[in-house]
Amino acid sequence: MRRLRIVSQWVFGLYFLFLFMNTRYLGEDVISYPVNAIFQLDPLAGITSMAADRTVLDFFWPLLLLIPATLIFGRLFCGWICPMGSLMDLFGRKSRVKVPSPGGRFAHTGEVLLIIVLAGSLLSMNLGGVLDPLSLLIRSLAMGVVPPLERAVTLLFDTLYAVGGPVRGVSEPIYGWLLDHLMSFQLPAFRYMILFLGLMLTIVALELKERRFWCRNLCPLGALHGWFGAVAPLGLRIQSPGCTACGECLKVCRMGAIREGEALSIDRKACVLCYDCQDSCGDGAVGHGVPVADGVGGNVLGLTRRQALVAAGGGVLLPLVTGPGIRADDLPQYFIRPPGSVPERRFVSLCLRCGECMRVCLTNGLQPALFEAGLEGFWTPRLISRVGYCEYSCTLCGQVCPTGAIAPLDPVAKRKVRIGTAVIDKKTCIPFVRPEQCLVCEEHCPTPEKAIVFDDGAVMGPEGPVTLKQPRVVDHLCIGCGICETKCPLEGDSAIRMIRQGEDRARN
Amino acid sequence: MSRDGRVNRRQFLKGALTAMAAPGVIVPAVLSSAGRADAAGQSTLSVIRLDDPYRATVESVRRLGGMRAFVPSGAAVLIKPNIGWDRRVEQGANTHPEVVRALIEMSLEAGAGKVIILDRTCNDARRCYRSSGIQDMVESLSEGRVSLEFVRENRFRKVRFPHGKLVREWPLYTVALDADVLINVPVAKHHSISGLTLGMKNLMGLMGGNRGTFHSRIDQKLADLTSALRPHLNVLDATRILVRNGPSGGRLEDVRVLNTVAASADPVALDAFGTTLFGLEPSAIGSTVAGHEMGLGEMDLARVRVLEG
Repeated sequence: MRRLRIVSQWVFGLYFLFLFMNTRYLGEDVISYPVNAIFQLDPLAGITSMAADRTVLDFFWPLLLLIPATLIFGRLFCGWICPMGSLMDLFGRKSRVKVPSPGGRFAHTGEVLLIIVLAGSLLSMNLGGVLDPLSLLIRSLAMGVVPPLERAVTLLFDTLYAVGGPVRGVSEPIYGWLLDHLMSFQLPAFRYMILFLGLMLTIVALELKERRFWCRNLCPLGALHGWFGAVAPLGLRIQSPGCTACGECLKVCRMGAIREGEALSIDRKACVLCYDCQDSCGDGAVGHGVPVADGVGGNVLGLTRRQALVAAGGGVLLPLVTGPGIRADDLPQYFIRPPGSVPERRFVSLCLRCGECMRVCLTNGLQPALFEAGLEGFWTPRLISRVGYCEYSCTLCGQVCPTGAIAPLDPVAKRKVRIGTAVIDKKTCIPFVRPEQCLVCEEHCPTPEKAIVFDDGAVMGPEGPVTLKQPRVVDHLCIGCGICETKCPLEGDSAIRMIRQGEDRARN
Repeated sequence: MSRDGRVNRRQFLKGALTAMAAPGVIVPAVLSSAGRADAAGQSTLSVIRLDDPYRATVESVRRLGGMRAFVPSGAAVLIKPNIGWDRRVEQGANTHPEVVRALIEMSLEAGAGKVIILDRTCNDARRCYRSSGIQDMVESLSEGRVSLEFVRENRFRKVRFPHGKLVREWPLYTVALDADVLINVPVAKHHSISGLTLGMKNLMGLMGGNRGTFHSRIDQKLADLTSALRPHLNVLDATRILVRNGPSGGRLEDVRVLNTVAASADPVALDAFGTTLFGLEPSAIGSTVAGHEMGLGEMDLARVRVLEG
């Protein structure tokens, strides 16, 4: 069974990687294998999103199979499927990293976080995605790992290209292959990249200290699976007539799930069914079944009742003291959500912060928010048009969004979705302040009937007034795509910027 | 050395160290080079009206003496169509893929060693190459000597414009500078500042840097750019033209089908002719006037030998 488990970890791990690499534009309008599929096996994402949004999301239907299986067998997701768990096992080799002992100072942190998140979701605040391991992994890879890696590769090959001669002859074909097959088309960059990388590195560092540190102590999804599996009737158990209490299993248990009492027993809340104990057992005493009478189990909650209530209180309090501000949709004027986004309150309760939308965005314009949209908008996507605009015929972000925070749109509908409105700053716009023509915003405007037109206006030049074409936004034609803001030739801030005014979702 | 005294790719590789010692310094020999005008100094322009873009293109080049007059055997040819926009063929924002196909196939027949097609696009390059039909066309050729390349930001090199009046230097695309033959293939479109976008404007797709700043006094700057790039052959796609909401377009009501392809070695004469398709005088387009004044070509169509068909 141990072998089978390892095979399963590789299969799901590589499948995850395959999906992740396919979650980008590959020359087709539709992404066939988006990595959001992995969330279908994520009860934390499912429960918090549905609770916060108060809807049933069909997307999560596989949970109807996974949760009963967990109720019967225990945390098999953590040991067999979870790509984060498998990644941890890759770093935390048995031979090098010490195994944990049961309990420990941080043992119930994940449970506390889980209760906070669940309680918060009842009040429509969904912070589950911030710490959900799948969301965390995708986001960290997309925004913390891939960008610096690709930047390093690009620097290397740019240097080799500059060297020229035979070096270039060798390096360019390799670089070309990498660009065609593995790398992003444009070098991605994200605000606060270091946060994503830092969080990931911290989790890896903890793993190097103690096996499955994250999964055992911190992971809220792991804690949820622990609850489901706490009394699993067909979990792993140690049979006391067979067991000689030699303690070999204690030395291999990555979860610190084996407890010493009168006899050795397995804590089903912690056990991830890795079968290392069964493999190590010389007595053949590890098997499936209802735990023997004095075994652990039955106690679902690891916390005391008081601790649990405090955590729940915190979870309820959080949305009460942060939540949408003084006015509904109290967002900064320049805060633009991706096309197809649902109204703000629903958006923040549905968004998992997985970062897939930001990964697929063709122009890199979708960037993670920090606190611009409040605590509840932490790490949600916003369009920073100066970085990149919303490509007129592109529908990728809505395709990959797991929960429909960004609704999927067909290209025809997408071209008509208005996410904001362009406004011109006449204090900096070139033909308003200097005797020079400029038309870049109008030239790039993608609406079939251009949303930017020109009026004649005079600007004083060295030899008297000069008549220039000065741009004006036609409000009802503008969709707020932001290409004008991206392309404005001014250094620094653009003279034309997107504001939320007129966004379609406000009217829904 | 290749055209205009430039170092071509092979020589560049051979003499890498020498080339590195003086990166990007380009010295065009003379502005009015051979092949641009006949012995009497007269420019030639062919204008073909046919409802088949491929045949019209073939015919337009044949009238100028065939592709062999421009492409020596073994030459590296760079074809620069307009692929700037994420628009479909019938929307008229990009060069028609059949026009490009004709030029590729004629270049190969003339013995080109390789043919590269590229543009520095305005929308996402992958979407532009796909939507324009250019990528599908090139893939359907499945010819090893032909490659449709994406512009890479590390491949621009700053070059001096020795004849530039306003632009003294600018980063240009190395692959274009290193090619032996440059074929410029614009599509005729409306444009709100330069009036129209034709051949000289199309060359902006080989520029690096912040192209937006180019639009102030664009007429002279386009002439400066043309003097630095010196395309060998210019082919104007006027199979359908965009008369409003250019250069990006998007409305079929703004597209006029003209079934016309024109070609010339003279970029100014070609633009002058293109202007007339919109019912305007050549002098209405500032870059044409500036190019004429710089001696890049002839804008008075009465003094151009026009071969129509």
